Amino acid sequence: MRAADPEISGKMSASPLERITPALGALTRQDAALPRGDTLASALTLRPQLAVLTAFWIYVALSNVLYANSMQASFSNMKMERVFAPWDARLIQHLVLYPLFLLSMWRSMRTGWQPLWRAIPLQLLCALGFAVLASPSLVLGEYLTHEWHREEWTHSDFVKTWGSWQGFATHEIPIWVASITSFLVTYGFGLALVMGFTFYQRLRDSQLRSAALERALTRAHLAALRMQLSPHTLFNLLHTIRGQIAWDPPAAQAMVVQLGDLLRRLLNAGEREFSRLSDELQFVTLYLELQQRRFADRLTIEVPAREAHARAWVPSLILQPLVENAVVHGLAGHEGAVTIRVEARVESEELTLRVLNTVAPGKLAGLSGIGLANVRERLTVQFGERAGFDAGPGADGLWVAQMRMPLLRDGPEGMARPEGGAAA
Amino acid sequence: MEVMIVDDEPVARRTVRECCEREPDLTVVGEYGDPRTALEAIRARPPHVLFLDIQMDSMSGLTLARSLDRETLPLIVFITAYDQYALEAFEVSAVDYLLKPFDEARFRATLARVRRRHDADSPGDRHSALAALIEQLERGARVRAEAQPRVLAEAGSRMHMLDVSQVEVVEADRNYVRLIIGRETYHARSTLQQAEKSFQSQPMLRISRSCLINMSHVREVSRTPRGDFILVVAGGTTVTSSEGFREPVRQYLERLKLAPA
Repeated sequence: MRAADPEISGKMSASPLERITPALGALTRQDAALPRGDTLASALTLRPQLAVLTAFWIYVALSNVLYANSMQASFSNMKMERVFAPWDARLIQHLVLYPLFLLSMWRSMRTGWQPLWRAIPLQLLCALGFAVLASPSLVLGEYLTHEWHREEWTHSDFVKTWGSWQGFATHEIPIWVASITSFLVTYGFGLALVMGFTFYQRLRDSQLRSAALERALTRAHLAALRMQLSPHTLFNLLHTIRGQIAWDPPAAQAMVVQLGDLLRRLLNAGEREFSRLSDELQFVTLYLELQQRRFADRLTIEVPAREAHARAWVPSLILQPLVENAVVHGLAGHEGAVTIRVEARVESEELTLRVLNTVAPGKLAGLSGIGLANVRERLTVQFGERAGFDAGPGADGLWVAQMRMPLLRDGPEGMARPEGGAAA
Repeated sequence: MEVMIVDDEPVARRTVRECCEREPDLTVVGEYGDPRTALEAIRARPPHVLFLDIQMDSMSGLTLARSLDRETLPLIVFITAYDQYALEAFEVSAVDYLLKPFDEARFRATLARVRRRHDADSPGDRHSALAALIEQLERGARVRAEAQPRVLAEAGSRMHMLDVSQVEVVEADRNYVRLIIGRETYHARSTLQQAEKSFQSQPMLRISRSCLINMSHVREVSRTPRGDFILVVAGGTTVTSSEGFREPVRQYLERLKLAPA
């Protein structure tokens, strides 16, 4: 059985049609967690197809037996001799045919439909192999049961039909041909049923797999969008530190340590999709404090306390591009002081984060930048319609960048455990 | 207090030494760039405090620490640059550490803790704290690849970041998995296989094709007349193993000595 083969389970088939009918085992729901070579588990995976075929075959047997019985009953009323085989002989016929039916179905599904020129003769051969045996099975059934129906079927009758070639040709061949055509149709229905069912299973599996793949891609995409500290900022900070080394050694040392913290948090947050809001606020505080050292007394910062909304989570580093933009945008085009304020608000299952900065008079122009496009994209990928981002001039000559997203909170109320330090 | 410094970078050793020299109660009695020489020196004359770099070429600081004698174990301050998983381990541990780069202020803060431990701890305390830390670090290294401490899941219209260690049962449900904590049920967009990876840090046991159970929350185990296992978790949820997984479940429970007769 190939069901437990990870090569097959893991493979993304180019098209579900391409391999519509491989081995039965490989068709069934693939599951990497099944123990390897576990025959019980492999046998279990055959169950759905087996059930479908068995149900179908019971239906066929019942319908054939009932049909023959009722026809015979009506013929008997017309005082005709018995033309249909008795019900028990027919039942035996169908019992004998059942394993043959399963075997040829299995063979046929292994054969598949590719390439067509080879598959069609093989499929026909399979179907014929089954249908040809239908009439002999009935004869076998009649032979086994003829003792109980002595009045219709005497031993000499049997010898008359089967004993000589002529008897056989005149009595049996037409019946045989009729039975072959009838059972071919039955076989075709059965095959269509099990293939349709198998196709449905594969379609469902491939949908599940493509959903999984899509999620993996989204995750990789989001990881690429997270690393957002601009190189510009980084090298400017290094340059400031370089200047401080001779001028104010303790300040230079403190800046190096802060920059180390910043980079460490950046790397940590880059590895995970979500961080606590408190960690995110701490990160932007660290970032803004470093910028404050660069621009000495020009920059004033206001960030909510770490304890604000302690149970809320946000996509990692979602605030950082906005804060970085606020610094660049706020300081540009003038020599005066700049205030940068970060706000967090929760209202009916929605979290709103705002970054406000003062700007030079007459500088309320449009705000763009790759960082902001990334913020919008990340929010959309993560929350779709439930999140939004916009930026524009607000009251008091402030520039306001605002995002809203569903509130992500810790697990069940009252079960939150205290967690220290960096983003858990 | 007598201090030894082990780091394979000369400048890094000098930084620690300069910091120590500003403290009147510290005497640097040895400085080593080679962990093996350092090990011999420490065994010959154990210092009170050992500043020990973790990432060294020839021998890791953790290996060195593990080779030290229990009775004369110094107070160790590990020095490390960047390893997120190690940091998480240090944060919950009673062993001190310094992150590179550090400045005077951080060095003094760490030293204050070291002084307190010097007065209070016995070598036995230090040894068990060190053993716990190393075990934590090794486990972290095993599960770090795919494990996630939190998963995003929804209950109704509310979204939650669930701590994987709280989740009791994970069940497949078409394109989703159901996560059960107590009486709450959450939905996460994931397959059972992906969930299995996210939950690597937890003792998850697969009891049927569509169900994983967190063994650390199992309160009761019993069997049906047919031999399937019935498991009850702390939150009251009851799940039954399927026929195909009966044997692996039995083996797992037997290892834990939990299997009912």
